[in-house]
Amino acid sequence: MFTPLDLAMPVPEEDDQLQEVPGYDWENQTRFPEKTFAAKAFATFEDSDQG
Amino acid sequence: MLLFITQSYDPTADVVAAELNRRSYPFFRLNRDLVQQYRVALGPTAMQIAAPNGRAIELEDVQSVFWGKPFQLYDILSLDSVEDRYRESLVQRLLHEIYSVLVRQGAWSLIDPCATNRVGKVAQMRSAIKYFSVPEWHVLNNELPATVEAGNWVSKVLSTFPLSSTAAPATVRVDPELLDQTYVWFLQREERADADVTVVFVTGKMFAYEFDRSCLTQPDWRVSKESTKSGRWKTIRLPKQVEDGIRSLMTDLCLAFGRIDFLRTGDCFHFLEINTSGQWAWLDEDGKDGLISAVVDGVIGKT
Repeated sequence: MFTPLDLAMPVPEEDDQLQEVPGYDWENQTRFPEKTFAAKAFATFEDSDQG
Repeated sequence: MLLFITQSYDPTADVVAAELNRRSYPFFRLNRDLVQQYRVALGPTAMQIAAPNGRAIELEDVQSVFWGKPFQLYDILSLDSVEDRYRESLVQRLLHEIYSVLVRQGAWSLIDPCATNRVGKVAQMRSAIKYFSVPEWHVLNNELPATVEAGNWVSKVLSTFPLSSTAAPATVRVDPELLDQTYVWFLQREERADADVTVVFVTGKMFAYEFDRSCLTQPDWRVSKESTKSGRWKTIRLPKQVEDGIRSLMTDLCLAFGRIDFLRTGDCFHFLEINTSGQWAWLDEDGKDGLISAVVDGVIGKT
């Protein structure tokens, strides 16, 4: 018998160039360099709707 | 003034913040994960939040609030001690308190943090059948396999609760007779589709993208590295009938924002679900489609 835990899939690994996380920029209220936004956004792995 | 309730590691939040900066639009970003560095004072006469760099916001000055996925349940459960879990629960409660004050005072909110509970997947599919093909589905507890006829089925994600930091629930092919009936299951008949289609709906505007499924070996595109490559999601023009259906469905469900997922087989769009606070930033990387601008317009209540 399979449970939902047996059917879980691995979360895709992030691109190596995105592994190093910069500090938070309090003035601009952003953290990541703009060029990596889109790829990094995907890496947050859709979709968590419990927040 | 916009209050942006989010967390500092969310690049989608950075996309929104960067666009707000470009517009010189006044906003204050409150990051759940950095909350220990903010001063928050809520009281009967004044309510203020201040960041460590001196930036501050009075809640009475807030005209719009954006709830940008500030936390998940896993943020609490991943903590080791009861004390830390309780501390985190207080932070999450604080954010809800701030949000509710702002909504009560009339601040515009594009995303309702309670939408997932207000408009669940079953309610979505029951409404969507008025406008779209919806593959046969069942949500079952102690009813397997009696209710499910023979055929090709997938198990879908009913609860997005993360199973660990490296594994997540996903859509997978299953034999219903082999499933543990002590769990609740969300099963759907598998569609052999040409493409995944996702449509970002923001206050009536729609941005549609398609991903060619021919490179996939599994039903769920999220687990494929191909789907994360730049440019794999192509802009498409939706048939008018589909646009009209989406508009009607979102009106029925009282949603101003959502990312609506379909499977496309030839000319037929099969409705799957609405992600009421879905991610979208990877779809329009350089902003050429106008998606980022439209979402930010929606966030600040500019229509």
